[in-house]
Amino acid sequence: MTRNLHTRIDSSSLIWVTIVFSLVGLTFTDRSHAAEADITAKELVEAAIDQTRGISSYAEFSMVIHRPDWERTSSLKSWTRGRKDALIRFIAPAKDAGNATLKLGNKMWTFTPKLNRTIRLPYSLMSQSWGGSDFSYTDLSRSDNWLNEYDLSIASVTTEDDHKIYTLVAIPHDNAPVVWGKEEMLIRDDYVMLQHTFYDQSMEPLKTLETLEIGERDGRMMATRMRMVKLNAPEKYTELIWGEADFDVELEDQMFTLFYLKSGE
Amino acid sequence: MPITLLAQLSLRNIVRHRRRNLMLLMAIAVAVLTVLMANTVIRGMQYDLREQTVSNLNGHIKVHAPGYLDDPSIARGFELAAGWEPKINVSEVEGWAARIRIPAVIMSERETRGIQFVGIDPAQESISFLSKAHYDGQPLNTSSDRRIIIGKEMADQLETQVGRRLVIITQGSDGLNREAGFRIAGVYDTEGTAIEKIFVFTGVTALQNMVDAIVVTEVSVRLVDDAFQLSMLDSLLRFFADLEVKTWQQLEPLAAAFFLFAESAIYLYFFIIMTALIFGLVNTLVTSVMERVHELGMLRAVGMRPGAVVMQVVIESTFIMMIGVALGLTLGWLIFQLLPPVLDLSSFSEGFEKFGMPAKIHLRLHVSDMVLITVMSMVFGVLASLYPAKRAVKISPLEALRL
Amino acid sequence: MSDISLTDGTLTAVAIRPDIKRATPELWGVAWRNITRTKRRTWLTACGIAFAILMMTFVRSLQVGAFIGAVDNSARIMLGHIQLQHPVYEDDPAIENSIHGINDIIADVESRPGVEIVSARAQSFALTSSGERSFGAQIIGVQYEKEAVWSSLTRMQVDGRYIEGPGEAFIGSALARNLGITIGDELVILGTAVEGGVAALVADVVGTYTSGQPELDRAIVQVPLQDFQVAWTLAPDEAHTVIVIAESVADSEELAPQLGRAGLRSLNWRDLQPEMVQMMEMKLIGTYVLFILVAIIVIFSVVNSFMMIIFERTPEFGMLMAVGMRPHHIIIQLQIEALLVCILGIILGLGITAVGVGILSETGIALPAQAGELLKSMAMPERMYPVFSFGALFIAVPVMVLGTQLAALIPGLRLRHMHAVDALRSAE
Repeated sequence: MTRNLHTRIDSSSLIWVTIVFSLVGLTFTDRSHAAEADITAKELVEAAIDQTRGISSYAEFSMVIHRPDWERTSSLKSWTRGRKDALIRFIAPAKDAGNATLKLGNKMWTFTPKLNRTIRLPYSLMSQSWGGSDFSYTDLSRSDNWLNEYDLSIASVTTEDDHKIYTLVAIPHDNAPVVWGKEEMLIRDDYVMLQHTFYDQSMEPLKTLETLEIGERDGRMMATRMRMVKLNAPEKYTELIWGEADFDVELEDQMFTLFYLKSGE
Repeated sequence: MPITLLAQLSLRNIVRHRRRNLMLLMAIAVAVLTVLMANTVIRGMQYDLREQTVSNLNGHIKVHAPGYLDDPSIARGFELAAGWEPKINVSEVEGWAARIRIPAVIMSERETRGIQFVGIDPAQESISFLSKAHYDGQPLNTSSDRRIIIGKEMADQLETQVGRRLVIITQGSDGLNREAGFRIAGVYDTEGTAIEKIFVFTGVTALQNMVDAIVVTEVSVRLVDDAFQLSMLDSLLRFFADLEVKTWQQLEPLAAAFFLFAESAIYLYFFIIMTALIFGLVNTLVTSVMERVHELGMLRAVGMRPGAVVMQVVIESTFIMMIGVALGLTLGWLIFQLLPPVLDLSSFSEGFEKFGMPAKIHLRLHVSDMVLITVMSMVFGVLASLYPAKRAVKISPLEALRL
Repeated sequence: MSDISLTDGTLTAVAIRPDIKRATPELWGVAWRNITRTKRRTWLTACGIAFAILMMTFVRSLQVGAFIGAVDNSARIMLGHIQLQHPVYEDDPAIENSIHGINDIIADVESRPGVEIVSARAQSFALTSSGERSFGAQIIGVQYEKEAVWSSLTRMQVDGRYIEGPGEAFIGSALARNLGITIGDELVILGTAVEGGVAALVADVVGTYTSGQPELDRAIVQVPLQDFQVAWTLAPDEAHTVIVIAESVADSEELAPQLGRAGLRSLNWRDLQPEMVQMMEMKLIGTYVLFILVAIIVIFSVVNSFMMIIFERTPEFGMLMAVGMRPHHIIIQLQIEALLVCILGIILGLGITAVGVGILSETGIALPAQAGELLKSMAMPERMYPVFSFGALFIAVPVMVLGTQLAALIPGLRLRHMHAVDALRSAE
């Protein structure tokens, strides 16, 4: 029986930032282009991230989990407050509607309407898959000082369709809670994330989060369709497709409470 | 009839049939040798098991906070003052080790596993298996070394190696999750894979910093000799009055049961082998008696008492047994000296390592067991002579003369 | 002592002299007379051989009995004798790797001879939680009416009771302790259902068990199969394993290969309990070593015995040679005697084994109560029933026959160079 107690292969990374925060923060119309060639790697990422600090957001998106013999699409809503707190709720399909995950700092809870209960996630389950996707709870639970865990550098700059594309290399510090050898991000000069690749410690690429579509939401350019896929199993992937997104929305503090997690719709 | 004369008669009988008795001596020697060799293997397994259990972080005696065994978390830690080692029975103590041991999850790029995360002071770990393990890379330096060492089996499962970084998630003293990356200083290889799959080590101070608590969860003491366990247990129970003090037998009842079971296995082997031998021994002795019907009858006729006849056969049997045992033990001792000190069974059965059992046996030859074998063999020799002696007593002078 | 036999031997030898080959039946007769002439020695030698045979066959029968007992016992805790699964389930125990139409499968298997009971299970890894505490565990959806009949886990130091209806859970005592829950408390279970959906279940803990095996006590939760199917969105006839309890381990070995088919993999007890197979092989090696050692010692005594025979009968052999018998005829004669003694020993040894195993396989052997904890942890049953081991028979008998033949030949070879005159002289 113990043989069956496998856990999913997934690990910590910048993904949470990528999914929930970066989508908001990485593009701003009022700062639509990175400064010219003199921008440093840290500035590039910070410029993106700093904009999100203290900013709230609301977004609707769908998640497509694709497997060789089935595919499932869910609809979700997310609310964020600063870079610490977030709430994600399933809207559809009906059988999953209402299920929600709340993150406050580095604590996480999950709510299930079928049980009408909130459950705090123990550390031992953080590496489990979130909602059956290719993301783990750890991916969602990044602490807000993640930037300090990496050495960032711009490896190259290319130009494509009037856009500069920066290849940003993030190498985690020695004690960083990151399993990857390095992470490589392709960021367009308007802060749209094009691709995020994760390398193992012998510097072989393992998985990638790639942007398939770019669009405008609430006046900002952003990746609107992204796919997470393991390079050795391309037939299994998870896609995130953004619908409506609003930035700088007024959110009540009670949204980020266990009570609201339980009672909200 | 004086015993010396009886002994002379017996001895003469043995020498008279050199070839036959040589055969018998060889049988006895082989039997004794077999018993002795089986004994060295069983004793080896028995003491290896104890050594393994004791050095598997248990020590002879271990101290925990109450409730730790049911809920092994940092919340069940206890504080230790500097220079906390009790100054009791100092000559009996080989070493002390204070550790933190808490459950955690370890992750590589590809795999995730549950582990026991152990914070140690490397200087104190001469008392555990860590001091004897082989390392790829290097062991930890100090108690503030914040690198980790992991087992070989774990390294294989996680598909990682020395120098790589692993992420460990555990619970801090405030109940919140802690996660951090740790470089692998070394990969330890120990006998059997069970340990290698469970324990990951780092410096105790480094782990205390991670969980934000200047506590330990266990104190383990290793004694110079197992015999001191009771007196030490008594002293420790008084010294650590508000903590739980347990012996390795209490912590690992299964290992303790096997340890005791091995004692009976030693006797079982002896009886099986000696039973196989006794038929040949009785056979030879009876033949020897029957050949001397004339002689014995004559001796009875001139007044030898039945007791003396019995004595003569018993002496003959004991004598053969003694020489055989001496031969067997000497041979056994010589072979033991020639054998490698560690018997490696891994080539015989992959099963040992697969199920976490050590495939190596450290052969042990106890002088007390050699004495035991000698004494038991002598008893067997006497028992074997009873039937032939009974037959000898039945010989009447008349019967002897008639033939 | 040898007067009568000398005459006897001489007369026979003269009688068989004309053609030794055609006279083989007589040779056997003489051999028989010779070994019955020295009854005591024959019996002692035969007893030694019998002991070696007994050692091997009886000990192996006990071992095989103990192992089959342990395998059966362990199968009846949780694993079953046979499990039917989706072909890849063992390697990839994902919720999707399930089998459909379990009711038909169960009906089919239950109708076969040698099957005692069949039940289905669905299982998945999930988070179990109570209050602030959460732990991961294997959740098993069971047909509780059936499991209550065959699974001994349902009776292992149970606090409370086993599942009797929907909404109930039966969990390991260590897990209960870790979660800080007692009987009557609610257990919240949260996992991932088919196609990534959320599987959620609340159950009342009605009982806890203590098997003594940490992995069972720490990480298993049983709930009714229907509850599991609803929570994990499985179809009503869908599950992950069909567990077959056969009437005996032997029955299960016959059944297992018949039950597999396309899309349904059949795992027998060897697949389910590989550590038991390994342990059996290791014990077998140990028994062989012991048997070989016993055999060597017994063969030594047979050599000894034949040395005595030859010594005593040298004058007789001299006589035989004087009337024209060749040394190799005498050697053949001795080999036949050795064979007869050996056969006697084999009959004796096997007889005792057969009677012993025959009786004990009916009554069983009660295992000592003191060894209880140890045996329980090794999944040993309380009574052990020996099973006759033909494998041991096929090893032990040839080894002893060859061994005694060799044992008689070694001292017998000296006869090759014996001269009638010297032999006759040694009689004085």
